Amino acid sequence: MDNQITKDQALSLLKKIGSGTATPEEKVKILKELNLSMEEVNRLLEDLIVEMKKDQK
Amino acid sequence: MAKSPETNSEESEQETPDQAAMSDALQKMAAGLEGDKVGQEAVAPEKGTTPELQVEQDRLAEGAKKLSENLDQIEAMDIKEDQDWSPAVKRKIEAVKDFLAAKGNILLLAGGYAGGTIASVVFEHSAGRPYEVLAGAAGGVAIGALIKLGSYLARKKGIEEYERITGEKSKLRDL
Repeated sequence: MDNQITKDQALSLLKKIGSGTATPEEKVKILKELNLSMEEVNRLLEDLIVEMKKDQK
Repeated sequence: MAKSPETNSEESEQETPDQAAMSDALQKMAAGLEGDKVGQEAVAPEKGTTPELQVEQDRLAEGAKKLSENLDQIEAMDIKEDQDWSPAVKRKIEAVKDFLAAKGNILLLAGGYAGGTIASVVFEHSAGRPYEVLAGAAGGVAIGALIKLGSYLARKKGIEEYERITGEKSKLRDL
């Protein structure tokens, strides 16, 4: 996948974020990954909501 | 203060099922709130931020807001326990699941770290509902989204559980 970080890298970065020791560059790395995923999930959820609303009528 | 009329006369330190359930609910609330704190710390504006980080933080805030709106919309639907979804809805749910599966555990771990046990709390309270998907999504997509989810679902459900068990209004409602 494009530019995907590994599980170990993510855990390491998240531990740093949690402990307040992550650098801005490290935060950018994890936030970029999360943002891409969130945007995609939002798109999928919006599709889901449209269909759910149809079912509720 | 009210005591169960069925209180056992034996001197036992074991929790009753209700006490255990309440204790469990409170622990989950605490975990969710702790997750909020970690998440807020992760996205809080701070000294030393860079323009690129600012862009990503703004993007995260925007995405979290959008996710929150999506969750609000689903929450407002009053979904029944035995809701029978159409094939179209089921396909969309599968699409979300497939996406999360494709991304692997990495994002679930990311969200789980920031959000404490929020996702598991949501799972527990959502049997048979699309929250199963949302919990996975929220657990996987963003620290910022978990802040909202932690406040919105874990706390809400924890309070409801507390009130159901004790019959008293939770003071946390006023927070």
